[in-house]
Amino acid sequence: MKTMKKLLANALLACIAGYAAEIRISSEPALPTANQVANGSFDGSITGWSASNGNEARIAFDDAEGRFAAGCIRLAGEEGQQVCASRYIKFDKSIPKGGNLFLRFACKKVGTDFEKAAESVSFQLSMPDGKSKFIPVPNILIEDHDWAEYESHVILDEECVGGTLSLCYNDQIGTVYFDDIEMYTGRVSLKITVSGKALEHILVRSSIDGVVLSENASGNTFDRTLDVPAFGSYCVEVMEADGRKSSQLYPANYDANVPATEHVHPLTPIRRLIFAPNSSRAEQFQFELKEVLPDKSLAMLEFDTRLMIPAESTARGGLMGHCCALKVFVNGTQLTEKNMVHPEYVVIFANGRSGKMYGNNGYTLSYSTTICPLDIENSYCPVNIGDRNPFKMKLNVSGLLKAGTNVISFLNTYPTSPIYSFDVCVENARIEIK
Amino acid sequence: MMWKFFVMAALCSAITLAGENPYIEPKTPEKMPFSATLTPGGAVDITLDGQRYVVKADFSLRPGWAKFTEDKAEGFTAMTCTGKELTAEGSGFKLVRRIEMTDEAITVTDRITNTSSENLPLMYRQYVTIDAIKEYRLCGYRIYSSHGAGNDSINSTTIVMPEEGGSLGMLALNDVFRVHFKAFARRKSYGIGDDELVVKPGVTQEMSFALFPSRASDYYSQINAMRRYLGVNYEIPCGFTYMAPNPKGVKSLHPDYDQLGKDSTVEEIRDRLNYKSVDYVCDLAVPLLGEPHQGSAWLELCNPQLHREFHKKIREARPTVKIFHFFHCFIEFKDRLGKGFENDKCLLPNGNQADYRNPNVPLYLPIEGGKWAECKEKTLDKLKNDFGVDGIFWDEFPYSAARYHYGAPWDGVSADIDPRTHEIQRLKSSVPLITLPWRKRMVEWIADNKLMLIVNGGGAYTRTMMEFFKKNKFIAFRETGAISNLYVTHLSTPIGLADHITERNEKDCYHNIVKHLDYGCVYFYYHEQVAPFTHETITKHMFPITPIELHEGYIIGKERILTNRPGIYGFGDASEAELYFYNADGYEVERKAKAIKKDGKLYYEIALGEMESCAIVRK
Repeated sequence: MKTMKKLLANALLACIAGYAAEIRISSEPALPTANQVANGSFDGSITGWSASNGNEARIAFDDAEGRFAAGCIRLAGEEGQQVCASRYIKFDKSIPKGGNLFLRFACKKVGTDFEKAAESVSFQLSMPDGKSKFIPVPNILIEDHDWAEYESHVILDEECVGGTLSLCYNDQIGTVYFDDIEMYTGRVSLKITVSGKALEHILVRSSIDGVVLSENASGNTFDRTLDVPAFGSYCVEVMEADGRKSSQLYPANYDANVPATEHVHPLTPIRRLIFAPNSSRAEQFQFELKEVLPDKSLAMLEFDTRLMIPAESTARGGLMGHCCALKVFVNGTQLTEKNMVHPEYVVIFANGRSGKMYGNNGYTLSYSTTICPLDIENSYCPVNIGDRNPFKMKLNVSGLLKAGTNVISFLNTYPTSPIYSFDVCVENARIEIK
Repeated sequence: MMWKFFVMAALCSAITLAGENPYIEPKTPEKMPFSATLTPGGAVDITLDGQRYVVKADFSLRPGWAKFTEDKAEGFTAMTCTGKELTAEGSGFKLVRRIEMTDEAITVTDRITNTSSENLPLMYRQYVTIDAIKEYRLCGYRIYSSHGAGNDSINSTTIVMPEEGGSLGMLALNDVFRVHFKAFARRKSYGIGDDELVVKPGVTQEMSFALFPSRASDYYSQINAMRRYLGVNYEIPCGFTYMAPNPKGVKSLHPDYDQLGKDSTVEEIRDRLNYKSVDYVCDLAVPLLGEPHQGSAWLELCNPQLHREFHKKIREARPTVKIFHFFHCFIEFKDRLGKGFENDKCLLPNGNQADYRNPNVPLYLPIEGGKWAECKEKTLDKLKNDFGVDGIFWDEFPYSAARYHYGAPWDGVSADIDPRTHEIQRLKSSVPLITLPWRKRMVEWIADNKLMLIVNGGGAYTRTMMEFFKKNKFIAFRETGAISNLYVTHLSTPIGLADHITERNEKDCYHNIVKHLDYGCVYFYYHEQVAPFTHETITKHMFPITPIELHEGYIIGKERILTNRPGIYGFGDASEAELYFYNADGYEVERKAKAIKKDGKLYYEIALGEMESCAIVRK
């Protein structure tokens, strides 16, 4: 057993070391910028948050619940009551017309009545002239669910100076919790400097919006300053002429992939990859193995994935069905239903229908505003999968990996349509080897 | 010494097998000792073995609801009730309800008369409220959520299994109820309903449904009781596949094999048909040889001679074959749009013409007296006389991509009703209903001309058509890529068409045959895209089959039992049987099975692994 572990560790060393190009990234102002929502993580209290009239007793600080750490805001539902916690946010600087606003929050709900309106978050913008309007906020899953993250990135069509953020739980029963509420505005200048032996291609990825730059390069240096939204993190990926790939995340450890361990090997430092449809080529990621894996070792390609519903969608419920939309390749071999470990190839949904999670266009993904295990009251809950999580993908790639550079590719195969177009989101992509 | 060990091991294994595996045989239907009466409030009160079901009813008013409850009806101005019949008067309508009992069911008939001078929108719901349930099914699907909705006009059922035991099934019966059907579960109430019903002034609309109280608490016991009630257990004579006179070079899914076609030899055709063990062969138009798909232009441009020559080969290859040809009554093709059909368009709510999810394939309605119907009638005539077919395969029989038509003529019974105000938002026509008179006349013509009929999409979509199919032994299958949709066939002929989306080779086909048995269904092959077929498989012993009972994992027929589950099987008497086992690759394998005599009946102990199957054929 010890020898096996040692062999594995040695075989995999190359995948941790070996960043060939030197990449330097900084921004002005520095990222992350200030969260416009003070006390968005509810550190010890709900200071700054006001209850709707007559509902003071229904909002409270909860010191037991919390997304990553204990401490969050709790709203207790009451039939016929508009239970709401709000705060006014004045931006550090007004956002000009065409500017960016990003809202992200996590929520959990227990004991909800799924036949009534879901809890919601709203943000009512304030304009300099005193007018106001609401921005689109993603639909929240109607049914009970554990902590799930929701976000929206909006381009404003008018200048605004702030707004009222409201956490609402109207005419409901049960309890909803909110935590880690973040809002960022504005833009930064992202300065990128790369030096290597022979640069071939530079790609810059945002953890919120996907690829922001994809450009051929030459020579051994690359300098660029990009004007980008002031939120999320940015990953610079450098491909050199000898086929080596290097990458760097900025800010480090922000919106980052799972940390590397002895058994877990992230494919990229950034948490989220977004693949646009109608792409002619699969996007490639490299994974280095110094030696062939020992016999009986299991290599799994794991990631979370969904089809991203746009924030402005009015579809109620947060999850709108599914579609074959993702092909995955390892060293040029397309993975199929035979590689599926999670979910299973055939799934039974809570609505009694069976579905195949792999088809002509690849793996079946759910249209969703978030990623989390589903409650049985959701028609699309996969009842024959223990964790009821249709978003978690685990593919057995043992036997497909080789010593040296391995290429893992993802391709959005969402059917071409003049009306609909959906991005595929892949998060926490990694190889786990045991 | 070792031989003693093996005998002991075998004995233990046999005993273990007999102890673990159930005895499976057709059950003798029993008369359920239930009692049923109408309550003072108009609900149907059913008692069986101390278990009680009160089937309540809601009828929409404008505004609000009239209700049949256990104690006192609500929303009615007058009501008289004896044990089995009641008369009630509501706002704008009169209702006469009658209940009748058979061995396994209570049939409820509501005759609703519109006593007003305008169209009466009437949302109609029948339901039970049960606190604790074990399971419930809507249209056959087991719903795991506490709330659900379903609509299907063939498996138009809600079945609920209380935690205490037993079950109650609800089945919509009359044409309008089935066509508008919805099943629902909400806040511990489980029921069937019609939210699209309109009754014209002075007209009496009959709505009927059946209730099945049962001691059994499983879905298939309910479905089998319903099948007996409807009388849909009739023979499925043989297997089916498609085969067209393709030119050379039409690729199959195998890179080394073309699809069979007009240039194939008799031997090649014979092998294909024999390996699939099919005697119903369905021909298709061949666009590559100048024949359009079956819109109006097909009448002028089809090539009967091409097909007749191909049929000769097929008949020579397998003389028992009956030859069918594809027929569709709704689709047209824009590139060869016929003239004179403007009044027969199927319209959407916005006034645009409906299409087959593709604007190049518009939809028309074959309504009695219309030009489109006339064109389709000529198509059938041509298939019989010029093509010389033995039967018609009618695709998308009750409707195509549009279930409703939003234009004239009105079917007299359908509307979109506002769920809050209960007012009519707009009138609409059910495509199955508005085309029913013409389709019925065509089906009668097919029967009168001694042709066989196979349909896709539901012969039992309406009660009217179901009775006709029963009388003539016409059959229907379900085409689907999601195998759970085979629930839809459970109150019709239990046949699933091959899944052409995921089947890539004959092994895939065999695996799907085995999975069809998970729904108690037999299997019809798709077309020549899958090739080659190199051996016979369980389809050799699949037909004819006259279903007696459907179950998860097996189907019991008069002639044979087909199964993918281990068990101890018999026909419920001393009948001997031949056993044919198939391994996970679909090949027949020699396997001994122990015969067990018990209580004067004969059983066979069948051991099966994953993806294996067995045909138990009565001698």
